[in-house]
Amino acid sequence: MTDTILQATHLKKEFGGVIAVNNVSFDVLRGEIFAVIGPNGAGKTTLFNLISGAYTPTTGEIRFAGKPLDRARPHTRTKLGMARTFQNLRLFNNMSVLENVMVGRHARSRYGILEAALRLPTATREENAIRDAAMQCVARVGLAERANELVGNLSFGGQRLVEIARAVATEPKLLLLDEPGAGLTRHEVEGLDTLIHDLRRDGMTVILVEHNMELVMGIADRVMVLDYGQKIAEGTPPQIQQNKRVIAAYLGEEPFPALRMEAHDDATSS
Amino acid sequence: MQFSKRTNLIAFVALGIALAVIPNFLTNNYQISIMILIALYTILTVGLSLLMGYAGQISLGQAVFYGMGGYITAWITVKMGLPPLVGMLVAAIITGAFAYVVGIPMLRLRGNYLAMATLGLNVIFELVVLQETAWTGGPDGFQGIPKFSLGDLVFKTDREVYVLVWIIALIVIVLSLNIVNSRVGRALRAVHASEIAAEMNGVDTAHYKVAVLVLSAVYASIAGSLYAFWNGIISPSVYHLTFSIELVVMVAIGGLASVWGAIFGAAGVTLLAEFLRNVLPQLLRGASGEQEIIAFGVILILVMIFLPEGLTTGSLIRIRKWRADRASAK
Repeated sequence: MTDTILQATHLKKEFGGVIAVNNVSFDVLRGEIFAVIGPNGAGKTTLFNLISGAYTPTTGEIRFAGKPLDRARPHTRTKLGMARTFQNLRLFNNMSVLENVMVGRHARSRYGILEAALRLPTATREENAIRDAAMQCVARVGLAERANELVGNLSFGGQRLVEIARAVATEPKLLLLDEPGAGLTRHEVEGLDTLIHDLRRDGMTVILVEHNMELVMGIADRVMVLDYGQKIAEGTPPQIQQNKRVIAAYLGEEPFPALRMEAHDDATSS
Repeated sequence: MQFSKRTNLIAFVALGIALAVIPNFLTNNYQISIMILIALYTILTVGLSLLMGYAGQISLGQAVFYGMGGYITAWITVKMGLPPLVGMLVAAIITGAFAYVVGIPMLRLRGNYLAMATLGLNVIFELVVLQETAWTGGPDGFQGIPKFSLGDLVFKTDREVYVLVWIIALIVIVLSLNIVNSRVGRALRAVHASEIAAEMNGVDTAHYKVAVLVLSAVYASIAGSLYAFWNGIISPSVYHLTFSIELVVMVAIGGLASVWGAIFGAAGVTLLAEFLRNVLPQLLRGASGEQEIIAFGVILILVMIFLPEGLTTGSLIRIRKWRADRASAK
């Protein structure tokens, strides 16, 4: 068994004439928390879309657990053990919290349209298993009491947690979190920090794209920095913070603003 | 809108009882024929509601599947002399297979483009049915379709057909409610809410979109067969594009993502259509029945503006909200 869960080699994605991701190679080790940072427009979300299969790379290859993913569609990757959340929440607004997370169990259940229509015992049994597993994931992010509410009724931070619970319900080996801290209160970010650590302890590998440098530097084992689609650095948080190219890339944006105290955040927490 | 299993069961039993009692109050064949039509349209709209309301895939071509059910049934029973049940089943299988084949390329389209593609399918179907007179009887229609029968049991009179079509409609309702409240139903609603998120959560979106189209086509085909048995003759005018639009109106008025709404939509629009057909010519000199489509257009616009969730779902949401407001005011 290899120690590398995800291996990207010479990844490139072109949109028309724009190269969003340019010749990026990296390895993610099993069980680590790997962060991808970079200024706006650096290609971080495009990279996530390549890994999760929303886009196919122009050139380059991605291997997951040793096997090339090629053009595997996203749902196949989910089945293989990959899950992601979205920068802009993409919840199923027509469903309750629990139902959203139950959709996450889709890849781990199999009864089809006929068993459902006739409500065969196999369907009923599986449906109960789906509900139980989903409920555990909902409880895990602390939303058990709101399981039956429509997701739209939850705060932004709550909805973020539903997305994470939904992703966790797919039983991923690799969890991709796209800016999980964006729009959260300081208090919520702390909870997120703990949650990500917990997930890793359960054996999940986590890749996160994040702007909140305090969160990234506190949580990541390794950090990769993208700028204009290119990889400009990779290393441990202390290495990255001292890297001249990284500081230059962030010039004018102030590289690690979140490392200072942000006391005002607490005022907005609910 | 989702209801609890208990609510569904109560509603279903109530509907069953109502349907058993209603024939006693119907005095003439005209009224019974309206009830038969409502049953057929219920089968159609429940399928369309799964496709449109749950999975979010619009179809302006349901009349095609309804028509295929009718013509294939006619061909098998009249030209090949096979029993009606065989005709109905074979028609459902062929229509389902056809939906599968056209669905794979068409369902890659979204929103308005999918609407245009299905609309195009309907136009093509009308032309084929009109032109291929050797197969379809052309504008004169296909005649001499036998009554539905199971062995010696023949559903001949309108009252007998009433029992047949409503039993099948009730079966369709039960199956559909079960699907809606299942892994499959969640997958369909997920596709509607966010296709990319559904896909990322392990839902094979292409598969489910085609599957629900096939299911709606099979329902439509069965309704089409039942219509053919009942009427004895089928002609192209029934499968006109306006009928596909009427079905969309029924689903939209009833409430998109609601099996019960679809039934109310089917009943409401059918009764309204009959009312208008009788009343319009008296109000407007020279107005023929065809102008009812104008009234439907107006109603659809009003519903979409004031009750976008549909009459049934929209009113229920407002009643619940009103109750909650009153409770919190106390």
